[in-house]
Amino acid sequence: MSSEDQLQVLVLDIYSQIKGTPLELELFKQAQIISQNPLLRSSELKQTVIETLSKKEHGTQLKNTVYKYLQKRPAVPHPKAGPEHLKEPLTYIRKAQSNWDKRIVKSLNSMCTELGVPLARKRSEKDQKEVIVHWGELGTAAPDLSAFRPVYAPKDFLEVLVGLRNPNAHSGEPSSFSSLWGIIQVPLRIRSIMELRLRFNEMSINQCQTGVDDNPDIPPELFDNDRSKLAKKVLNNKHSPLSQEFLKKGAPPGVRAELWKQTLGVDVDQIDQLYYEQLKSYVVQHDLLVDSLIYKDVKLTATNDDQYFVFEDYIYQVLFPFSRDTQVLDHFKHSSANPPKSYIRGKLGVEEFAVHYPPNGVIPFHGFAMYVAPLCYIYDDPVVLYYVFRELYMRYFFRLHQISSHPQSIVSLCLLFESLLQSQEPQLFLHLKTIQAQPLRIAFKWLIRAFSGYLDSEQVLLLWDRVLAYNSLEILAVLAVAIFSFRKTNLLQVGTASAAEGVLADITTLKVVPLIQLSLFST
Amino acid sequence: MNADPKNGTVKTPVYIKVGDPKKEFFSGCCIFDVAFPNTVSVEINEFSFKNYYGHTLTVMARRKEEPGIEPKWKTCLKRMKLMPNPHFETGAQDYFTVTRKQLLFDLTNVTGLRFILRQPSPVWKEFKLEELTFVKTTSETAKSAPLPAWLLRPPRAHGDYPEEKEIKGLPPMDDLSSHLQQMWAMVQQATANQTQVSLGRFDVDNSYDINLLSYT
Repeated sequence: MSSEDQLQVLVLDIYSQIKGTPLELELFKQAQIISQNPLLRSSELKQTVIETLSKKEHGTQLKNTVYKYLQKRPAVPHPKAGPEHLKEPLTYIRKAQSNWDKRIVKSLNSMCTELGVPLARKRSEKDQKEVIVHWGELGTAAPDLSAFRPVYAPKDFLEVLVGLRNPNAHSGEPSSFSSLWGIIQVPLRIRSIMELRLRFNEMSINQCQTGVDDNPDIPPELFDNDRSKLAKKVLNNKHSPLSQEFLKKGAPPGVRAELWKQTLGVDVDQIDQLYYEQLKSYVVQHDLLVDSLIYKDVKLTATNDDQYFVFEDYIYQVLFPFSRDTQVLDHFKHSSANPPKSYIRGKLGVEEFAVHYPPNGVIPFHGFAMYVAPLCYIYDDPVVLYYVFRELYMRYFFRLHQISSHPQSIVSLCLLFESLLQSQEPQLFLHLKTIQAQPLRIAFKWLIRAFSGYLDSEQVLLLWDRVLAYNSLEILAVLAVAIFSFRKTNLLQVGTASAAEGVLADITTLKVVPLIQLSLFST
Repeated sequence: MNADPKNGTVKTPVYIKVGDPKKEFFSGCCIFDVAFPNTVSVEINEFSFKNYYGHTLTVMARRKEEPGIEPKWKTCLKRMKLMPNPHFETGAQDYFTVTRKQLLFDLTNVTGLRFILRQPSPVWKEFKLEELTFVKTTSETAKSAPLPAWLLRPPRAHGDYPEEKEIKGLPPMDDLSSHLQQMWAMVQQATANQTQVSLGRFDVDNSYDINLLSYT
């Protein structure tokens, strides 16, 4: 396909996104008003309409919509490549993910059979009323959860990643010259330290950062005042790329909520409110087994965490509707996983009665609720919270628990972590390897949760600022290396794996931004 | 001229070895020829393939020459990069299409093609090209089928063809068909204006009772 054809396809794709939305209607109306100007010559009509529109508010909205689409859009596939090639180009990784999908399905099925509960059923009238009454305090309405267990934990998933071998590479064979020193043996391309320095150059030590230079000990006139002023200007502009650029140096806490919304292109209008209400009614109508898994997960993680236990009910109000949201299914088009399938009871094998389970296709694992928890500090309206979370999940978080060769996938992040640690701290890496404490086994739980629940909540948000700003999860691996470097002296003194784990058990006191700066830019 | 994707016959790839032929030593170079049986020569517009761990591709072509001149292999594609980095598998199984623009000369009167695939990295056990297809135009020109006679017939005036009796209670056929066309256009417009936003229903016939997940 020539580049012109590709552009044509792109324009059509984008148009299909905008078609029928209130934005299109508004743009159309505006264009009509402009074209009614009697002084306008017909030869200049098109040009004038485009120019005038792009200066108006709706023009910016259109730009934001296009930008949002471009950020999420996968590369244009080759016409010969099938849909599965778009999901994951490497055959053996595709197979590994499909085996993993099957394993999850099996484990869910056996849970159903053991406990004698169906995956989904309609609630009785009485139960429906109960749910409506308790919507604000769903935590108190939790069923008996003692028999439930999370479908899988990060550890199980790590084992699968460790077992990944390319059948066409010599690296998988033991004692091969090309096998890697870490536990991940997939030869994917990852960025080198120099490339990372260029990528994250706005974070370099000579540049002021929110998260470092807004410390109360530093007089605000040096940095903080100007930063807040600039933040206001950026917000008034309502332009996504601008907000994203601003986030590269972190968001001042007061304006983070708006900045993130602008960067992610989340603008909750009446239709979105209505859609959330609809999802809520679906929660009321149907009782899903996944709800119990979410309950169990929240009780095990967020409720147990002194930073997040107050938000327990908020998290339910996000995750229950999330599991019913079929728009989430869209992300499977460019992710290696496939949503589990099932049939309505009594209609096994009849294609018209095939459904996805859960409706959004995402089975929560141990720690899933922690993707939501830090957001509760920014947004007090559960509806806004919901849409921001959904956008974050569909852009970034799904990559953290799927096997894929994408440069942002958890496999690449693990590999980046291991190779960075080897090149930055060779002595430390060798020491840990010798005492059987493979560093990734310690760091994996941080990576899969994007550090949520391990760091102080404010620090998590400062970290996620950078994820949004650079549109990349790579910063997670950089931070993990930085933490190892920071605790190097203690780690070099321990002689067992459990002691090494002990040294890194509590990282709540760490400040992420200076650590990342130190690890990336100090020589 | 008819453009149709046809497969040439791909001969068995030869991996170049260095030194003792009995010893396994990959030079990182693999050669295979493609012949086009049952045709004297072909014209190739483009070819596509799926790469499997090859790093660069060079293609040579042999063209039909004047009688008396020995046909020679000439390079028509020089070291096209298939993988961004030979040691890393990112992009190792991608699809490619090589079009006229990328070739050094037009592939006309071609009697055979020779593919030279290189993989300098020792990390991989095997490298090859898969699903190789050519879009070619053979020298024979196919006649375009003439339009059917009934399409060429001039639009008839009302009252012609007395053998086709008018059906009672119906307006004239031509009026009817023009109305139908209008309606069809309206339907097309209506479907084109529909949004792609789904309603988000996940239940079938108001039921979402599920017992177990399916394994397929």
